[in-house]
Amino acid sequence: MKQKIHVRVNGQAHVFDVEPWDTLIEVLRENLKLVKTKEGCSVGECGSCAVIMNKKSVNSCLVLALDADGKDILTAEGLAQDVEYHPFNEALIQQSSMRVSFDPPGSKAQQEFFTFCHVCPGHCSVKATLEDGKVVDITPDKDSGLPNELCPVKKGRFSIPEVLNHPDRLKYPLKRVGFRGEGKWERISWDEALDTTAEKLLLLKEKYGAESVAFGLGEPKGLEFAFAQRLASVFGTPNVVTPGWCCGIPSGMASALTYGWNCVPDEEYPTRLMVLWAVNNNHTSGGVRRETMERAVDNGARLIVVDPRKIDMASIADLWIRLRPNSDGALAMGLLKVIFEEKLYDAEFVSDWCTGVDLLEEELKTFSLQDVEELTWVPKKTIREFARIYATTRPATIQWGNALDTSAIAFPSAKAIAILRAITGNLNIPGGDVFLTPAPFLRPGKFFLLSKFPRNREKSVGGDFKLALRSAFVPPHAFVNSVLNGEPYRIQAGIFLLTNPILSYPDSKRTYEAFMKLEFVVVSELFMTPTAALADILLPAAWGMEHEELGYWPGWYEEIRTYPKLVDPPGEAWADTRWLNELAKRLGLEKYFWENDEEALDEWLKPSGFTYEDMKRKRVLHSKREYNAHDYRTPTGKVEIYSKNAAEFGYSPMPYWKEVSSLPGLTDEYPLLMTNAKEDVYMLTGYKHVASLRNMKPEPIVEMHPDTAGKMGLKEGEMINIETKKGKIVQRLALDDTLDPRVIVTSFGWWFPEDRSGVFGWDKSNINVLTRSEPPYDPGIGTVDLRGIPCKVYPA
Amino acid sequence: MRLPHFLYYAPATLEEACSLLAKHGTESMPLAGGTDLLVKMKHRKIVPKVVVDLKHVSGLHAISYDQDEGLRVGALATIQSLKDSIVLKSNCKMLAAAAGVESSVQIRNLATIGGNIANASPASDAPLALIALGASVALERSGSSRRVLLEEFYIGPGKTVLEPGEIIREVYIPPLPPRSGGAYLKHALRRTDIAIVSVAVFVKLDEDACQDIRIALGSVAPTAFRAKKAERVLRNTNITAVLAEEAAQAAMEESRPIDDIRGHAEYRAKTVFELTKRAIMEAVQDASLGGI
Repeated sequence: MKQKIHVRVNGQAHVFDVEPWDTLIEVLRENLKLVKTKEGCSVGECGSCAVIMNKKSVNSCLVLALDADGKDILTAEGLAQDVEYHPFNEALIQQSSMRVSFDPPGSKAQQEFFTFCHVCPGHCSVKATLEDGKVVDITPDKDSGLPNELCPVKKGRFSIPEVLNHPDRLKYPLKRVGFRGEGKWERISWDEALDTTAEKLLLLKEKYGAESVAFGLGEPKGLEFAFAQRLASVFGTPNVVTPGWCCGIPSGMASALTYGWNCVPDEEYPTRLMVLWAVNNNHTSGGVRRETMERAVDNGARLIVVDPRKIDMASIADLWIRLRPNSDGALAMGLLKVIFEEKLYDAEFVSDWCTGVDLLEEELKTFSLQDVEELTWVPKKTIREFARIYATTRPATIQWGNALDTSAIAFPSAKAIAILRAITGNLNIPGGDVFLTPAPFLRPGKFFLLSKFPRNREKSVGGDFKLALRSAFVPPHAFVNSVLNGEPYRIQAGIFLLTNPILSYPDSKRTYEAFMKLEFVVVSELFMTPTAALADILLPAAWGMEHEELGYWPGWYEEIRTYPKLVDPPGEAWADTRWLNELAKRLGLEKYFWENDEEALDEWLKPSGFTYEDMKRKRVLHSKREYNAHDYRTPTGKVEIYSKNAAEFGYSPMPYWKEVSSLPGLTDEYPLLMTNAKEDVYMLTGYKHVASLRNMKPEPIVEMHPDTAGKMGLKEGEMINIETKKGKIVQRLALDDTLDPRVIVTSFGWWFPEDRSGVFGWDKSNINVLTRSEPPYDPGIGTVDLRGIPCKVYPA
Repeated sequence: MRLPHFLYYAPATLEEACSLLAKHGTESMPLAGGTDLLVKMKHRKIVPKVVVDLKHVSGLHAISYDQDEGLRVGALATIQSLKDSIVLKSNCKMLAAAAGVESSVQIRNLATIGGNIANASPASDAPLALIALGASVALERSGSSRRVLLEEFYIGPGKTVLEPGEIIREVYIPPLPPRSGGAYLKHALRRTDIAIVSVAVFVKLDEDACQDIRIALGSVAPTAFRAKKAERVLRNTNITAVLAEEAAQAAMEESRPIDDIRGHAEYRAKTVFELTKRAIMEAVQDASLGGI
């Protein structure tokens, strides 16, 4: 039952209607659209929600709104003029409260170094504080003018000092003794580890061909990904699994085939409308920075959020579009339909600079807005509202996210969205979605030596996926099918770095079986993970700040940054670039590598004229925004709504209703749709060992509508079963009445380092036990649906 | 993360609160500062149907000292008010010090001593200091009240002797005699983190001899507990560094640390030894200088 509360916020009196379970932060953000005071961990650890209530600082996530009745509240917004400055938050934390050290503050000399947080693609600029050779704190760098607002949960600030000094870090190369997964290891030297590996690889190459050795790579941090790709090229294997199959490539390709470039929201000039589509940039950055979003909202820009969940950005948005998971393409085509029918597009631009318009208009007539509503679960009225606002507000930007890439229909969906940008005249204009000229560093493809050693499509297990091979990878199911079915031949060995396939590849059961069947497995890791546990040779990896590094070159904003070495790695841990370099020498491939792996840093920067040492002072090379009018690098020189080249990869040249609407139906047996989200406090599957992060989110939680739970006989707070055709897992139930009753939201990436009974509980709560490795696949890169999967739930 | 839904009551008297809790039994929970309960609710570890907010009950916030009766701290006194209290700083500074190292100021401004005690975490700071100080809690339920010595209040991790419908009303600390002293030491990664190991020592000297000593250990057993074997090593002796080490060794052997995400058992055991040794010497120093 709602009650009224009276509060003063930053000097202004307000009356709010609240439920007993509403917290103060939720009420403030929802009603006042606060831009700086945020909800981070929601359990009082991160301090991002701190406010001053009746002259006492409190975490507003732990204050019931009812308990704020009659009180006087001061927030960061009321304390500082500049929206970028949150003095309150920083002041609280500066009192050495986040410093990680057993020594009393001030007892040791401190040094500060500028660097970047390396935990997520956001790469916020930070100052690392060192005492006695150890990193004790990471704070935002407010001096360099670079994006520095940490994520609300401050996961880098929490995890970096803990991981750098964690007692469970792998310190020495290990060799498996006993059976695979038994957990018995013998410590060996690096020489033995690399000699054994080289010997094995050469033997397999001779017996079965280089293609019998696969590489599994995760998200690049520094140059290690590039080294591994280069090694794969010169060794001669076309079988390299990378995250490209579910991240960045379909949307990137959709843009590239439509305008000839990828594009990002402009950060230089103000925008008047931000669409956050399938992305939660407040927590998981990498695209438009938090500072930019906040400035825009503060300057009156409107915000539209497209997400099946009411993410926190949705609570401050002007419009929240709650759609059926994976129906983004259908929604986009619905928007196109409204925009064309009501003639809201930029007529001049469309007639002068777009090809294929007639074909699109014809296609848009083949379905009705009612069809769109039925498929997307978004009311026609809302679709029209969205279309009208977007088409008539300029400049406008669309930041799209990873959730768009995790489906078999990612490409047509992304193309429909790409077309929206073009026909509304928002391409490459100040405040719109801009093309970036990358910073002058070596093109990754060149470093991978792809022209000299092209990936042989005929030989590759993923040869059916032309865009994947072109982008130097194969989808994970090609690897798994090869190992398990021997088709088109059997891969014998795998080298894995930056990755945890047992958790991150779809169809974990088959992935696990494949690992158990491999002849030889090499894994490089920071900690013992379910994948590391299955290695034959396990290598201890050095992490960010433990070696000189250049990163994050596949980033949205096409920048490159230097990450100086600040501390020594633990024990005998080596940077991946170092052991890959040494392995290459033992494979007789030294001519393509270096005496010392650090020499590659200079090579990467050659086009800029800087050496790595020079760059360390400069810290970043930025991309350029040139806002050149009508610079479309397509065959026709125009925006190709209809791209003939798409057929090269097995894609349709244009989005078709039939394709974007081909979603799995709900049945009596599987009446719900499972979607999922990355954990705010972790990074993908990692860091379950880190105490401060585990404290904020100790267990995997599944969210569903109370009516659904009631129907299925489920009690909030209990572990429940979630089952699909492929398997079942358990997660703890939380009710959320903002969800569509047909949708459940599971948590991604869960395994349990404390579970010594088997291989760290890899199949207990891991949502990839529920996903499939069978078709349908995205034709170009092989993506399978990772969201919007029919499922059922029942008590555990 | 949003809270689960619940029925909310805000009684104005303790009596009303007790009767509401008794009425709804295991489906209800009392809410004080919310810094433990709301966290557990958000994590869906506890999902009460009914929440009884105690914060509108008056008369439970005071901290007072009487020479004969000792200290009285109302259950709803915030941890920050304990940290700042002149009454505590002048008469029981160990308690103010322990309260002062709990979490962050934002948490301390909301958290209450009653909630801190009832949450029954073996790692809590103020309750550990209270055990060493020989404190007891006044418990109230409909129609009856009783006093329980805090060291007998905990029966397992997260488990106390509280009956359904029973609430902590006040904390009593017996008057601290002359030549008594204390030390509170907490070993944690960050200033705001939970203790990996914590030790509270209270000592009363008679001239230079240790007349009485209480050594309470936190985070190294299912509940906070007194290391009685360690205490026996020192009672009625003149405490020297050698004896302190012997007592610390006994304390280490009495503790039962586990491996968890904050530390390995072996590391904790070693830390018990170091911390206990230091705390004993500090408490003796404190007592001989006029102390508590």
